[in-house]
Amino acid sequence: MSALFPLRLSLQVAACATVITLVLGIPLAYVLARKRFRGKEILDVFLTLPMVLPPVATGYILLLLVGNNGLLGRAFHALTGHELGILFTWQAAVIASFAVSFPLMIKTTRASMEDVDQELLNASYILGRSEAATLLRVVIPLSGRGILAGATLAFARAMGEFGATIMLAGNLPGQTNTMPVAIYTETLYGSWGASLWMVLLFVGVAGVVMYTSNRLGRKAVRA
Amino acid sequence: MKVEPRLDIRLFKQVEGFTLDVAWHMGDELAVLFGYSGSGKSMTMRMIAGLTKPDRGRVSIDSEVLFDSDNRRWTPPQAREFGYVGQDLALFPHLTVAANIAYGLNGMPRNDKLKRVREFVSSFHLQGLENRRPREISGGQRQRVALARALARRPRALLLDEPFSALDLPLKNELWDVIREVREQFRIPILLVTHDPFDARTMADRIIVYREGRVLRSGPAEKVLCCPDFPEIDTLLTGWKTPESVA
Repeated sequence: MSALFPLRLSLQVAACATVITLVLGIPLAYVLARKRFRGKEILDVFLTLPMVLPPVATGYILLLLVGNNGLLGRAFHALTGHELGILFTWQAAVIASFAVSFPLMIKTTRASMEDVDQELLNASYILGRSEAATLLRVVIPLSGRGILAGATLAFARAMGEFGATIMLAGNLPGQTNTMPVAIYTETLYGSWGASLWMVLLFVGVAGVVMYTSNRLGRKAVRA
Repeated sequence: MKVEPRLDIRLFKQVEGFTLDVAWHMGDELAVLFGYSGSGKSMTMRMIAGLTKPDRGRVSIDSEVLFDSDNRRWTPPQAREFGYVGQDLALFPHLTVAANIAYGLNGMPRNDKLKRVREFVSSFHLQGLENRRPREISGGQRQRVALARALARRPRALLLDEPFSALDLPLKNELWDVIREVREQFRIPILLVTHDPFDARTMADRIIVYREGRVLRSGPAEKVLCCPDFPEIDTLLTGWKTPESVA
């Protein structure tokens, strides 16, 4: 079986999951890093729990949420009259990859945002900049390395995601068989040669991604 | 010469075994907030700038009330239009000298902004350094960038929280000359926090002496300096304990 479709799907799923991770992760990491409010650490635990949960358990929880009879599935049906119908699609793989990679982004970005000197933020406020402008002009640029590292880890984790993906998106050849799922299937059916080629391809792509991101990270620090 | 009050301060704050309870005013002059470490000087500065909220009190500049606990009025630091330079300067390390100076000129047309930055680069003798980052320039140059950035948006008052305390004397003297020029040029209230008697003697038009969160003495510098009426002030100014202050 061609490894190209699983590879392309894995890259597509990981890229989408990383974009969502960045869009949601940066503001949430900022809130966790710089704001004081009741229940902050509980929110942190809730957001980062998938990091320590078995991915299969995360997948099970996601099924309870986004399945047609799940919490969000029923709410969607009540609002629109249509089935959510997301299970066993490539979008379900994105949700699964997002859930397991998001904690890595949050942890890394939060730590780098906490390192930004409060006096720099105060200087920005006194110079007339709002909190949102300060986040964009000061906090994000100064946490750039951490954000990039978080995004890289999230991308790599999303590409390698298996347990939650197979629970949520299944293993439909040509539709939801991401690279890890395809490796599992080929090995299961004794196609060791095909598995080896896919593993090597995976290692190569993952290596290139990590190397590129590390280089970008170093450039961001020098800039 | 009588100076019309512009900045009017009444502050009360309690934090972990320390109480700040002060009231004073100043005009278009350079007032030195003077006292031992831990007497509440920096806390006062942060409350004037809007970085810390007092428990009670009132802060106003000219006729505008920035904080009034009785009327639940609170103006955030963004809208106070003060210039502030602290001990660590807080220059943005990822921005160039020119971008640091332009940072507070948000909303200004691009050409006006460029003109203003050029004007301040020139006034503060920073020509040739516009595209350098703070880590690529000397300590004295960084101090001048911080001052230029604080003044570029034409603030209503300038707050200086021991900005030169870590510098050696020749550099400090050079920067005091810059501050004297700023005083002449801008004619705004300049509030300087220091615990250095030399700074207080050489720079102050007005001296406000703090002790343990209270104003011990406030008045024109020549009066406070010529005949200190508290032994503690004499001790602070001379750096030596008099028999009266020890007693």
